[in-house]
Amino acid sequence: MIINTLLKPTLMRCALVAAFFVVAGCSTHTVKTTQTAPVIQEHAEIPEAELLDVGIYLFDPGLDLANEEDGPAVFPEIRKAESRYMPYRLMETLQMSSAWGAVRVIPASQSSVDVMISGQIQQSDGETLLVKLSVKDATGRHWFDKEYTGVASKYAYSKQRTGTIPREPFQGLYNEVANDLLTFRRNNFDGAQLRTIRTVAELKFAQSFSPSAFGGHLSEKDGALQIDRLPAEGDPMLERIRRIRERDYLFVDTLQDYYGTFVKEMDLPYQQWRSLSYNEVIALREMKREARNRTIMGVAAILGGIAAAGSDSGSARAAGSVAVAGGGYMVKSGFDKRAEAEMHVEALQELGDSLEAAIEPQVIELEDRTITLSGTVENQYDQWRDLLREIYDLDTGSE
Amino acid sequence: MSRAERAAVLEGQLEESMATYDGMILREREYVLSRANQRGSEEELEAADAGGLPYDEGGDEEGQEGAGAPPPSGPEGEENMGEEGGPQGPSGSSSGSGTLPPGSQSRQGDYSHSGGYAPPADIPDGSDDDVVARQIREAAMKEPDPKLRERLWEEYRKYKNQSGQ
Repeated sequence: MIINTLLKPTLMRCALVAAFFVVAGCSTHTVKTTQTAPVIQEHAEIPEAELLDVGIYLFDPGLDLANEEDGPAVFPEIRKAESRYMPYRLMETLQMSSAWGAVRVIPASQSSVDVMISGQIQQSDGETLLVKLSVKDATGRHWFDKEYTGVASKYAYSKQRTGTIPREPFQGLYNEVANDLLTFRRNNFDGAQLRTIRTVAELKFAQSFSPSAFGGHLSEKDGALQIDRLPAEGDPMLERIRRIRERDYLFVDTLQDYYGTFVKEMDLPYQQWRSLSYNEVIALREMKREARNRTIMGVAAILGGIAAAGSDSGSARAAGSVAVAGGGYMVKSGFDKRAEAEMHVEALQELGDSLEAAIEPQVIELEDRTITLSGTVENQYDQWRDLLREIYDLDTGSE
Repeated sequence: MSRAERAAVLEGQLEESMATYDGMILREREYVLSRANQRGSEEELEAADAGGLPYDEGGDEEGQEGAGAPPPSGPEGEENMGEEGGPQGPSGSSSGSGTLPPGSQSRQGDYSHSGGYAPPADIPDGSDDDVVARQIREAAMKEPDPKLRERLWEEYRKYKNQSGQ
């Protein structure tokens, strides 16, 4: 009885304090800003031989990471479309810095570009964009891995968006990547190193077409390629390889046309989906938070009420009854909020389904077209490899 | 066949296949370009008919900020990639040279369509060229290698005959 008397007020206090802390602890504060850091421009004149080309691989859609329990559903077709859309937007942003040579979105088969960026989409719901990027150069040197998170301002989707707010809600994220890349290059490479990267990329390309002629020019040391010897100036085989490389650039440029058209086509529905999804995601989070808080407060009130019901004081017992009744009501309203949250989940599902249906034919067409052209080009490359081998054998008398 | 003759044959095959490849790529780019133009026109029409909503569920939401009307499309909608300048991307462009920073020189692989070598006498003035023909013509006029240049002109003649121009 003594223990019971001691426990009751303690239990009541604990329940109320716990409820306070849980509720306080669950409140979130997200700062969203419309300020976008500008892309740092390269004002120095970079010699042609030191101007690095950048290849951005199509992003990994991150479907393996998708877990519906942790957040809104992930729509595979939208993610696949985003895996093309986002590299393209990054490419446009990198071009703005005037710090690089040709910046292109490239297929996975391309490995002889000066700088290569690969990325994985981890979250994209209109409100938050989370991508993980990895950068390396042609020598195999790893530049950096970094996760980038962008949170869209609500004004980004507003009709009243003014000239100071970028049309792309996550432009700040792309700008940050561009700035990191430029800063890394400035801080880590001198002119000679930049030229080495360019030469290694060219020799890798040459090696892939004529391993017999260029197999001995590169070697690996500490995980990075180094140049052992250079081809002679005016080497006819290198001249042939350079002409083939120009054709390879043409192929990649054609892919840019594909991607550019695709991005243009999906831009409008995608922008609208992001805008609607943004609102639903925020509403869903609010509902879930309110549902959780009400349930916790309700349970705490019930516990406190039960404890007070055993009190010797009549007023405390009356207050306990009120607390139990009030707690029950709060728990019920918590369940109601959960039901409302479910509606937002359904709305998100419908929005996603709708956009998927709208862009799926374009995604399929893009894939078909890309695969067909890549196959044709690869066949041609195989033919050229055979021809180059025959020419090399004739030149060296090994036939 | 002597070694030199064999080498010449192989070189010829290489050049021929390059000219064929150029023609194939140029035709593909023409397709993409015309498709983009066609889609652009369709989208403009659809937007005009449907009040600009890209898909039907778009208008069902109420109170959604920014959802009442689509954001602007086309170049005017791209004005704010950053605070400094606009994009220089090759979207819709048929040239890879758009990716170079301003002021830098042209580099290998960039397909700039300028200058070059005079066309053979039988080549018309090109005033009625379509986009593909124009691209082949410009590639040929730019090609320094006379053999490859002749292949490109051959490709140009073939294309003009096929297209009945």
